[in-house]
Amino acid sequence: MTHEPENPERDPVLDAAWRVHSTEMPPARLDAAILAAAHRATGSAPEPVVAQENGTRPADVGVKIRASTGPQRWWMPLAAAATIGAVALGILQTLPQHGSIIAPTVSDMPARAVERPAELPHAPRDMLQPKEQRDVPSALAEADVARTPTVAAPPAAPSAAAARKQAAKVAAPPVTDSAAPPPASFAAAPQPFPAEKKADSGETAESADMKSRSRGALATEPAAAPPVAQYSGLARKDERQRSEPLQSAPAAAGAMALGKTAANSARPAKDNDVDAWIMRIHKLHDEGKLADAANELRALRQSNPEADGRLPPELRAWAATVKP
Amino acid sequence: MFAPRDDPSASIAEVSDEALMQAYAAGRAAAFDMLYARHKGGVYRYLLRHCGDAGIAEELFQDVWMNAIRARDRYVPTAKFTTWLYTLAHHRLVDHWRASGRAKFASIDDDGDEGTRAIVEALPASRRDEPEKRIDARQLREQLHAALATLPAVQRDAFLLQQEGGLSLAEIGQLTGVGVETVKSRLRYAVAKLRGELATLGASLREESR
Repeated sequence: MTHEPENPERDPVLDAAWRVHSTEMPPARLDAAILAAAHRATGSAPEPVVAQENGTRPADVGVKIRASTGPQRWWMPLAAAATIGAVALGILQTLPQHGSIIAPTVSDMPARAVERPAELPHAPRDMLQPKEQRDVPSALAEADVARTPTVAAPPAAPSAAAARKQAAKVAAPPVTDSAAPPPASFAAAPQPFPAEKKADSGETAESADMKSRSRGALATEPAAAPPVAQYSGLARKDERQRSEPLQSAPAAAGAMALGKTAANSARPAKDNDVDAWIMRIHKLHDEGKLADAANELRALRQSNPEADGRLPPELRAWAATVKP
Repeated sequence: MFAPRDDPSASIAEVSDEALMQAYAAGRAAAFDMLYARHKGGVYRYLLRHCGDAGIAEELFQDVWMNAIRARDRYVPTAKFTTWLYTLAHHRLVDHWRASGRAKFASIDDDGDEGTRAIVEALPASRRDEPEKRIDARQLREQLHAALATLPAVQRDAFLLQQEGGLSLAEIGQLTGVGVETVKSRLRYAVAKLRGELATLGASLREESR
């Protein structure tokens, strides 16, 4: 033995020989199985061990493994976004159908529902016209029918015939805010019982308020008529309940007219009513409907003898020409 | 102390085995890949030299690593990772021998000088006296492995833990449950026997090394 190491437990020659001649490695299938088990234990996918066996340094293998153990399901947010987009698109496609279905259900007025299809094509053009030139829809006209007792309470007439004439006049569509003739459906529609037109002054103010509200609503949105119809319907029902005693009376139409005129004469005219009346006369006058305005003025004079003093200055000259 | 032979470069050595094992226990599978790349060869050869059969060695090798995977949560870096890993391999080997009816680690005493000498003397005379003028690498490998196989199990175990695992004397003693002096004795005998076996090849090895 020529070599005597200082450390008897180590022999450099033997170490070198061992390093050179002991190089067995486990088979690749074992590597794959063990790495797969190791990754299963942590819930990640293993990197193929082929890289190292091809000469790749273990450090490079580690880099590849780190890259492979990044977000395993990066595509899931994209899939979620695509799903949400598809659902949103489907919802958007169904929205117009909902709109077309919901719009007609806003109104519960039978007459309006029947006439609406014919009016729909003209609605946008009508909305562009000035308020005074707009065609009042039949629904408004019908709503006004319910309001007519509150708008024009005719004064007492000396005879039953005059009372009947006045009642017919009151039952006619209002001429205050509509230049168009009443629709045919209105003429054929059953007229309210004349007693309905007898409303007290408080109800008159309430109806005027409702009328103004309904006008505003109709001017901006035709579909807002149903509340007016509901209000007018309630007013009609309330008035019917109050007029039942009159209906049960055996009096004839003349008597009803007499009763109406008597009620009107007994009723004190309020300032608000007179002002509204004057405004209506003013409007008719401005629109050139002088005959209607004169009739209204005469009726106002009968209701309130001092009405001429409350007329605006620009109407006084014209009022002076109107004979009682 | 020798570094593990599968540790290829200084760059990968920046991360210690203990840190990698802790990272793997924390859920980073890439750390295990690196650990496996570092130590798979040493563990495999350790088992293969003890068993002498590639099939059994592969089975034991897989069991060792599976045990390491299962025991990752219980791993505490109180000692070197290699000590812990080769302890798993050593225990698995003992279990295998016990199951096969062979208690190799208890068959020969550490300092059984008579037995050791007998084994060394029992080496084939033909090999020792073989002409060494033309010795190729294949012959040297076979002779080396054959000489190792004739060693007592405890000496072979100490030699393999030192060569393949890079463990120190103290670590080998901790692993095998004996003192450092006992480990030295085992290694001394193992080296002496292997050196004697390879004496005839020594001149050729030195010539190759020059």
